Amino acid sequence: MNRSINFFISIFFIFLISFFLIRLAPGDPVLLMLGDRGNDPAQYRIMMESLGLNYPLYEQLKMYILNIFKGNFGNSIVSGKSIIVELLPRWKASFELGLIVFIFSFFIGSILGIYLAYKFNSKVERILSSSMLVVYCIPIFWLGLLLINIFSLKFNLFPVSGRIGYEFDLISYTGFYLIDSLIGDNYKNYSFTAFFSCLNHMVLPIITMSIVPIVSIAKITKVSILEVLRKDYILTAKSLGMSESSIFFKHVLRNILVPVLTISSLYLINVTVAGAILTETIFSWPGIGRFLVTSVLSRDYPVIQVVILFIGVFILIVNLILEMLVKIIDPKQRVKV
Amino acid sequence: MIICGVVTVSISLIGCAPPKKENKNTLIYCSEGSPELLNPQKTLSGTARTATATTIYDRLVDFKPGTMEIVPSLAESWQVSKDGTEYLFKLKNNISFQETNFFKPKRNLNADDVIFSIERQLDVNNPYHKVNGINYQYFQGMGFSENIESVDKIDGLNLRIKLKKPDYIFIKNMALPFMSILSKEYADHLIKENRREDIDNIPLGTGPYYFISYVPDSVIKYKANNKYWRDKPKIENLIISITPDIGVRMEKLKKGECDIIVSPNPHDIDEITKNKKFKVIKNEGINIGYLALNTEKKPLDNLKVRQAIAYALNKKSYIDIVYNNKATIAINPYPKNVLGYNDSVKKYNYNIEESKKLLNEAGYPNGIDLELWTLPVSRPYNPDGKKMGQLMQSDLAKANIRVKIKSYEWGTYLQKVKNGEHQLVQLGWNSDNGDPDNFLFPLLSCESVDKGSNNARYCNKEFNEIITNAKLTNNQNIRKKLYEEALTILANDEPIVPLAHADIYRISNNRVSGYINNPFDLDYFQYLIFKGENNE
Repeated sequence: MNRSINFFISIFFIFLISFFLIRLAPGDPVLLMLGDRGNDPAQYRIMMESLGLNYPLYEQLKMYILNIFKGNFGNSIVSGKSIIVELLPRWKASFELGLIVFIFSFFIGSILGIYLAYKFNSKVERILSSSMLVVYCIPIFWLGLLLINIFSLKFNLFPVSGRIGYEFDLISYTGFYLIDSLIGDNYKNYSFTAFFSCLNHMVLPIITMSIVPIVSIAKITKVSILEVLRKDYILTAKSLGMSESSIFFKHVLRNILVPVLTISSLYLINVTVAGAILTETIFSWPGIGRFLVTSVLSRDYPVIQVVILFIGVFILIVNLILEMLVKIIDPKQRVKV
Repeated sequence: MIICGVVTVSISLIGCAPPKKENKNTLIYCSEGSPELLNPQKTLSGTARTATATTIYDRLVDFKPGTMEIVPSLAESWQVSKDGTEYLFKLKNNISFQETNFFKPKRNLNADDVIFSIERQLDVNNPYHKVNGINYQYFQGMGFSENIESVDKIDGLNLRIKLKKPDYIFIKNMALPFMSILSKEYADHLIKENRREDIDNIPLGTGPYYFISYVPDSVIKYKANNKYWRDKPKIENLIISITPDIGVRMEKLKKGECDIIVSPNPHDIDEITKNKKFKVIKNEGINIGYLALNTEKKPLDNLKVRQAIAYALNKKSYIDIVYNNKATIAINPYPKNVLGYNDSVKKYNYNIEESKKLLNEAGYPNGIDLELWTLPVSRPYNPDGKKMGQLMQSDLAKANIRVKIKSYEWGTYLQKVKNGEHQLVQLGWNSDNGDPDNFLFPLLSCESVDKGSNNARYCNKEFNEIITNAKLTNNQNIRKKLYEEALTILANDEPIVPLAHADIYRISNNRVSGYINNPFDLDYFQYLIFKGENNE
């Protein structure tokens, strides 16, 4: 109960901040829509009025809240389309990529971390750790272009950009291409080719987006393991003659799961939202990050508000799920009310 | 090492990717932005216009491809009344709208469609006026909403447009994308189905390609209209692939994922010219990049100071460095191929001594301090405002004009310039119809000072009268004389320093031919063909 009240209060504040912050920035959507072409003051006024931007801020806020309670999130100023229509397909595109990146980097990152922890202070570990640092510092933008150059142009393994080959006309059932391509008429028409085309288009964006999370997760895993290994109960277990592997599964793994999970779920948010902006631009991925940037640049107030709200709610939900997961994993947390 | 590992995993995961077949009948055009809506009445960007105006739609009249000459299109002929306020259009017979899987038209084009297309933008009571917002920027910007008095049907194929004031540029503006003709039958059908907004999302017109699907930020697909009233397009499938990153567009071209790319990086062009697999297409853009001097602010209200600034700028070096030689030096506010271009205006060739002298005469022997605002976005007319600003700064410093460089985010920049807060500001202009009035009126007329397009805030009565008179006649010789005269006055006043006319580029791969160069940043697809059958 307490938690759900917190939840709604947080959403309300996110909403308020998103409402005011963007409106405090100079420039307005009508001006930007007209761009460097100039505009007639009378026409300018009519357009501002038609968008309700001539009212004082608190009036606009009131109208906006009332509309939201009617289930109306408003229309984009730039395209005039309903925001939900604009947003949903892009959200799904980002989420599809983000989720795979998350799972992928979670597994690769933690396996790498475990390996590094057990090889700690060896030559291999030192080389790997320092090269990881280098990789971590590569700007995503440059990395994306580099990967395209090598794997797309030189070796012709993957397409340069896009979400699926142009020869496919997928009927949208769920909006997630990997799923859509395997069901209904899409499967009948293309069998597995559409699915492979999709997967093929995802490889380079996934690698580009995963690099930073992989390195971070690997590091946190390594550090956590090293810390756990130093604990007395590990020594006890060893002295009791438990095998290396059962110590790992029974003690080490359980103890590092909480920090590793927390860090990686933060990355889930990061990769589906923030990290996506550059990757989506490079790989022409029709996702939400790029949409947010173009909306901010054109001061599309209604869109920006809803996107920020959307992201806020998403973060809160991920946090909620995480808390529940931690409770299941960590017995200490279960006792607390 | 991680990358290698990851890649091996991914490759083994995917197995063998199916080899990509190059489709002989599909042209992929890689553009930079995603159209907000698929209707040229409502969009400003070049991408959005190419995605609709030259594919899905036609207009009553058109520019003869590659020129600025007006030729009949959907209209068979037209007549202008003597006083220039009445236009009679006769439509061609038997022009059909596209038959698509979302709509099968039952009748051919007639006057109702034309009237609908105009009234949607003109009449606030039209059932479609408010659909998807009321931004009809072109219609309003070109003065159509003020000047069109009525649009009447005479009979099925004849209609009359009445203007309040004579306007001889009207017919040129009728060829612009925003005057595309939509189907009234389709619009009525959408009203019945209660989904009016689809008129801008699922478009239907008379053009060479019809609409298949659109995934925003990703791809637009078209198919050839086999019943097109002109020659039917040679290439069956047209795909617009939205590729915002300039470097990635180039890579896609090299890989064969694009057949044509727009706005390549000027610094890539020289390299790609050497490559026999690609063709560089150069269009002389009808545009101007300029430096506006706010004539309302001291000391820029002083003519000698403005001239001193003009003399101190080394335009040649900007062309070399900022445009990478892909532009020509400007002396007038519009390029050579526009009516009334005047070669004999006062030229301010780079001359530091002259500049110092003028500054001295103006009463500033110790020089002046100014603020220079640099363009925060990359535009064809100025690809790198910041770099240009730095060059200007060092040029001006030699003449004792010390400038501080400033810039703002684009929205803020426009707002502040509109308010007239600037001293020196970089901006530019692309012409839509190639008429001199389309440069001089918005950029330099007294009427435009408060509209945010006359950024020098220049208002010279004599100049203003000439450009107003030049609009009132259809005699090209008289107009030419008037504009030459206007440009002479302008160059003496120097409220803006014209800098460069940038070339507009496309790069296509070698199998594409039939591209028609076009000054308006529009691409025509119906004339394109694929060469031969040699496998690549």
